[in-house]
Amino acid sequence: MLGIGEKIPEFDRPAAFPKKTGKIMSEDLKGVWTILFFYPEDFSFICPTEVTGYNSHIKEVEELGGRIIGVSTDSVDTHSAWINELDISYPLISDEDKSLSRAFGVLDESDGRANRATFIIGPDLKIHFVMVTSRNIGRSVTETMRILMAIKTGDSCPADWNPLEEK
Amino acid sequence: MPDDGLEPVEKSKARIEIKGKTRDLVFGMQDGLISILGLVAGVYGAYADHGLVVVITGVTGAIAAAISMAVGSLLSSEAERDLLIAEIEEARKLFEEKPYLAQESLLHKFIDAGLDKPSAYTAVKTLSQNEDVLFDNFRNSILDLPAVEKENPYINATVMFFAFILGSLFPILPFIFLTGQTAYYTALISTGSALFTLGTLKGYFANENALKSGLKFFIIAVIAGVSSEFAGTVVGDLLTSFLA
Repeated sequence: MLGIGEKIPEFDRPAAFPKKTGKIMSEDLKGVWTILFFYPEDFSFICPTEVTGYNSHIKEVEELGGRIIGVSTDSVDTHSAWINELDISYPLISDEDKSLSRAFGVLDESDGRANRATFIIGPDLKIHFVMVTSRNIGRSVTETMRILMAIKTGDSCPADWNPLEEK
Repeated sequence: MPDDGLEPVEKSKARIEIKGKTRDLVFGMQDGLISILGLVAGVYGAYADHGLVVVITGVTGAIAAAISMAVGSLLSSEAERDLLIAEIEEARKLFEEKPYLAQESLLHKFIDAGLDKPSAYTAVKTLSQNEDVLFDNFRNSILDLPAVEKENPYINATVMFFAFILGSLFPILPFIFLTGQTAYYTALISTGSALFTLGTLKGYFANENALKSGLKFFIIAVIAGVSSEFAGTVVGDLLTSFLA
């Protein structure tokens, strides 16, 4: 799995956006902070809490100069239907050939689905934060937000530092 | 009932219900026919000249076996029912704690059955509008747990008791009204004919060749009767010479 300080691999993958489809390339991530999160699959009754959780923080991420992108091994059409179903406003990359999940080292080869992994990628395309959990444990979106804010301070932050609470 | 075009479904449901209800009747009667034919034929083999012994053995054997069958049916039905209720309660607990697991497993079941993901998701989401509907589908399709039967196990046991007694009359009655070989062959033929009828009915309900099924039952009756009579003769002769 890719670790802190490593540069993300080059990729060029189809993606579903709200109301359209297109492509997302690694180059598109240059110059912005990106929360790239992998999840096992669309149309699941377990995943939506994370997918919708990220959606509810989209404005705060954008205010921080960042963006959110989800990735799973589903097709673009399935992603489009999922975006409509959940009314989410960030893109989902289709990693149908599993190359991106494999390149990031988060593919579960036994069933061809991605593990729950979150990467915070800097404007320099280097990884600043990695977290992977097992399939049955949902991630904390607010914790990811806290980490992004902490990284963006460019300073040292103590344990449990939480600007969200200070607000 | 309004004509909503569901008549074929209703007919099919009624047919399945009849099949279920006749199970104890057929099973009890079949057992009464075969086991009591075996018993009376065996005793006849050993005591061919003592028709009363054959009748008394047949009647007491039939009553004892009918009680045993009915009690067995009652206890096993109750045990099965209790276990099923406990399993359903466990399943309900899991369902109430983690309903998304039920949803997820149904989702994958539908996808495996051939629905695409969005359709399967919509189906499960629709089922999820009613907690009981969702649980029933989870219990039935995922856990393979049937609903608790509304049938009264005491009625089933009573049916089995009388079915066994009814079946046992075919091999016993000839020994009451006839004697010797005539009684034996009449018992063999009447029991075989009754079993042939049962076999035919079973074949009809199971959508099998009714004649083939009937003949199979008939042959079983003949084998049971003849082999028991032979065993009774051999054992009777051996014991007679041993005790003499």
